[in-house]
Amino acid sequence: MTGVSTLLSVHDVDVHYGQICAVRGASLDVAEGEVVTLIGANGAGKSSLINAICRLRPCGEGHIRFRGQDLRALRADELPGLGLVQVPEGRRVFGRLTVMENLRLGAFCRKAARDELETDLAAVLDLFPRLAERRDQAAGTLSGGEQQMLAIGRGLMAKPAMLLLDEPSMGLAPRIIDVIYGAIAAIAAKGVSLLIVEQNAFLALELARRAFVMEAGTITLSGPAASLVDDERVRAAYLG
Amino acid sequence: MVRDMRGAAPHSLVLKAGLIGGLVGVYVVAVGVFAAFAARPVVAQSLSLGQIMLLSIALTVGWSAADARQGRSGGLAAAALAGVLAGLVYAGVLLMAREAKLQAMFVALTPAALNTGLFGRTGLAALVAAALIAGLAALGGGLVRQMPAPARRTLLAVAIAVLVGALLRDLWISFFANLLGGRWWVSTIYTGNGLSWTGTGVAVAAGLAWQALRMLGRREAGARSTSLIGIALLLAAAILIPYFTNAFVAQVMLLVGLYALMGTGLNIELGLAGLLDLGFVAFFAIGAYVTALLTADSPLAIAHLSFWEALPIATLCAAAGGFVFGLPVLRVRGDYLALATLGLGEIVRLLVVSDMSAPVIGGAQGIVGIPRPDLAGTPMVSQLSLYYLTLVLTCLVALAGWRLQHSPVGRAWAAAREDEDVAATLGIDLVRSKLRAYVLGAAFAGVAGALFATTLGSIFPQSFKLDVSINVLALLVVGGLGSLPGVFVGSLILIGLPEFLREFGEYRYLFYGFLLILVMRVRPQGLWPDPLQARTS
Repeated sequence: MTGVSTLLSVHDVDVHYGQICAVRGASLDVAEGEVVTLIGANGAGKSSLINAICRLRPCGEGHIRFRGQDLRALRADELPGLGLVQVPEGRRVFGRLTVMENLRLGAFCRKAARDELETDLAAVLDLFPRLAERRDQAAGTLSGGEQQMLAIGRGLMAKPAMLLLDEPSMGLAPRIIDVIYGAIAAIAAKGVSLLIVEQNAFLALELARRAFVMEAGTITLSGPAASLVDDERVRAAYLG
Repeated sequence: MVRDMRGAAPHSLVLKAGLIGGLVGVYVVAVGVFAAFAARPVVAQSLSLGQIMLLSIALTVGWSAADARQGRSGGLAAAALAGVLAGLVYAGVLLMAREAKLQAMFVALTPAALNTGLFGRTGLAALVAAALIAGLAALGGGLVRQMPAPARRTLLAVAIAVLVGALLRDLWISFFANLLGGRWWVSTIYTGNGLSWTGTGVAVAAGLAWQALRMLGRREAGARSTSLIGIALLLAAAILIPYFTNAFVAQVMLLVGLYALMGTGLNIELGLAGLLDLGFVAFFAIGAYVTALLTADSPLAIAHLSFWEALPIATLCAAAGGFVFGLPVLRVRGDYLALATLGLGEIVRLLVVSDMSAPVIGGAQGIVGIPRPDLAGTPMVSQLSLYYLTLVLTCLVALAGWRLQHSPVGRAWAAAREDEDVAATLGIDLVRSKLRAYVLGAAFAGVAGALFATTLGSIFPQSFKLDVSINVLALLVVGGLGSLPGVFVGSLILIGLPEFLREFGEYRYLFYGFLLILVMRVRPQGLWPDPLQARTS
């Protein structure tokens, strides 16, 4: 715990799917401006935990606080207004809308003036020049990497204090992953807190300051990312 | 077109296409469609609608049999063979039917119908004639399939132009007689009920010109300006055609306009927000009854307002109905919503006919004596003026729909339609967003209901049945979900065309059904799709 500057704190959270317990007693925290990664194998419960934080899944015990406010009393659509925005797994962009429409939807939660929105749009298109080339194209016709860029850009349009990135490298070619992670690093450099959920542990550990390792629904390891890269168990399980 | 046959081996494909085609031909004759359509000449007294129907069956047989895997000539041979087979099956069964005197079972199998169906021949001559004609038509179908796409499209445009020119004869005569100020040309273009050879030439030229314009437009201008030109043409036709024709056309167009108005409302719910609402007629009924109660010269009336004063109240009442009903049901997802709204439609209809509500809203007797709207002190009595009122209101509603579609509200609908979870994580309140679409759709249905009441002058519960909801849904799908010009085109074709084809009696609904299937099969994105949706679906 980093005391007063803690942005997101998750304490002792359970997530159930009927009888099946996907997450048990998970706790993690992210400080203001910090990059944290949650790594774990497929099916470890990472996405369930993220969805519980975003209020897309009900959770049992424990508390989830963002800037001290208990998220469990809120609905999913109230979170972006607080500055907590999810970039969903599997690049879920709105395929039948154009790139620009997708981006503008990201700003739905803001009551921003027109010029301000245009400035932010320009900033996102600056970060991802590929999107600028495809601005009036239906998002469903983009390549996988471009869709991931769009999903991240859409999240940025909400002007988040914190982004939850769910598997940003999933299913992408290494060259594209480098581009995506370059952009993520640039976002972090601007002071946006990040919680990156990854199977691709190496990249995430390189960028993050701290890391949590999830196995079979529980968080089994946590600590500075640099020390986890060297941890035998992590190496054996995720880095090969 | 017949995709499920593609996997079959060539010879079984020929067999299948031939048998099915022959039996479809027999069916068409046996149920009487052929007889009804054979009485309608299309080209120069020598080609009737019935014959065209049989020929297109043979054409389809050839199309299906001409499998690409057999190469060019192999495909053509297969097509011709399948056509010959279809012709033999067709003529063989009909010849047997003539011998067996089946008229007791199939009333439509009159000797006269059989005679026309068999080209006035008997025995072997009939078999040979049918096999020859079907074989040639099927060969044509095979050729069409092997044509490059632009040629095929041109051919289709020409065929449609000839059919539209012949079948909507009265409409064209009335339109051009008023436009040109005379009927001297009628006997050149038409002979009897069908086109003359000159008229056919004119129709072919019109089809070619239309196709050339379309191709030119697609090449020279971007998709956006093409669709703008298209909308301008559509609007010009909507304004001019009823003006230059007659009261019947204006009356049909009034109905088309009313359905287009409702379609625009349902388009917001279904096309933009993805809410499958089968109880749409309920809000149409609310709008109509509120208008009737507020304006009618009847003992049931509760006020004597003018139409213009009643219209906003009726709209608000329909919107309020949408809000009250939408609040509980919009929490359910997908298919359940369709069922819940279906229930609402039935509830409203049963309430309206029930004895309980009869003292208030007239029960089965309905409400009569609803005045026409006034324009500058004079009541709008002509069908044409009422049509223009409908057109203006439809355009206003369409404009509102278009503005909404491209606003944050419309984008939120689209987002929730595509992916509810992601939409929520972007800050979109799903229930609120859906409720907004539902209430707006209900309000627009209320406007249509108010217009319906004032144009008919009296309303009865039978007018507010489930088929209204289904018709509106069907015209949206045929026109292209989410597309505003599509709403007009769908309404024109599904609501207007059957009215213009009244001479075919109940068979005109055959057009309706056939068109629905054809559009879903060949152009599932609709006749005039939203450009973006067309590209990704």
